[in-house]
Amino acid sequence: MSWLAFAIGLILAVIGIGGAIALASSSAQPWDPELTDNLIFAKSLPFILGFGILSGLARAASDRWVTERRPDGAIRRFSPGTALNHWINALGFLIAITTGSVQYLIGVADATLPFPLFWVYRLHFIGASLMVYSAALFVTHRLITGDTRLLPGRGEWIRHFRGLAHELPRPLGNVVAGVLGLDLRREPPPVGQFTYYEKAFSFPVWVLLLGLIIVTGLLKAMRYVAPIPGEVLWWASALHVAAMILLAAKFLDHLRYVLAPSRWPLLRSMVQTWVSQEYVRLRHPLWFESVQREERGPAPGGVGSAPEPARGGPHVAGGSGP
Amino acid sequence: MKLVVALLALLWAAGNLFAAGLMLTNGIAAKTAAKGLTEQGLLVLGALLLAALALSLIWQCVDLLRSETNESA
Repeated sequence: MSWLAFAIGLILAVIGIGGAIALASSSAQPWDPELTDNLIFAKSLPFILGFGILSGLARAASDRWVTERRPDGAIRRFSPGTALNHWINALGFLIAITTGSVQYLIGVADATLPFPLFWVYRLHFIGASLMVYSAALFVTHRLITGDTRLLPGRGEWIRHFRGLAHELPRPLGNVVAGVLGLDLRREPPPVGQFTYYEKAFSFPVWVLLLGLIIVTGLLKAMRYVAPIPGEVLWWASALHVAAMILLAAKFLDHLRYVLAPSRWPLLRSMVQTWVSQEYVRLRHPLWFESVQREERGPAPGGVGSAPEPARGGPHVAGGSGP
Repeated sequence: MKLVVALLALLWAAGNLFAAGLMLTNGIAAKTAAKGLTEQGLLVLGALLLAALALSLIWQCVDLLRSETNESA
């Protein structure tokens, strides 16, 4: 079933994008290369979105909802599908932000490129296509599974901000604690599958900024195939650039965070999907406890030892990691 | 592996520092001043934000490289 949904999406995307390329490339059209690429991108968007949605459906249908363990005890932090989607998005993001920055900076510096500008736009549309696909997949998967593990639950924000303040570099943590009135003398709360930084700051900021740049980018791309009012287009362009600069900053912060030597095993888990049991026990004690509870299974009578259900989604590491 | 990742991240940080430099120099240039304080302020603030985060990334990469050296020593 899940492979069928994926295959249908792929076939429709190939037909749709192929059709848009064939139509735009026919000699009947008087468009220059830049406009041609823009029109191909705009006409391909419904197919890219559709493929992403069907891929998200396929992923949700194939989720296994159990914590996976290797014989050496390592615990799966991300499912292979999650890791793959992360890297698809990362590739698209790198292409799109590099080419977007080139477009922006040559405008700021009144400079010219030693090669035709349409190559920059062409690459930008390829990167954007990957990001749109990845976002459609992610959102569909999350809507179907109701998995909100990457966000603090209702009533948990204060605890998450306290955890975040402890995880930040000391001077910054003190500022956050001061602004929010948190007491940093208290023990930091134990860390679950995802760190407080990831849940209370990183993920919400990524969602906000990626959502903004994708929506404004779609509006800009659609201007040749749909009547978009000039004022809307102006705001879309301004917000697109603002989101790009903020995303460039967020990406630097993301790299700073994941490249900390103490978090190297977490970065590796985004490639290999596994984290050693020892690392989880030491650094993510709440998650370790939940995995152990799940493995013990419900006790007779079921009170106090049933696995803690995750809010609106799986409580486990393997089946549908974010 | 850490070495390759740290070097790639350093390259990325250097690119961002270059972009921040361009934004800063053009942000304080006369042609931008003519466009108004908002335009100038956004360019300069964006440049400072990128530069600060790029420098903190460079610091982290050095830390990662040090840890690699310590592990292999």
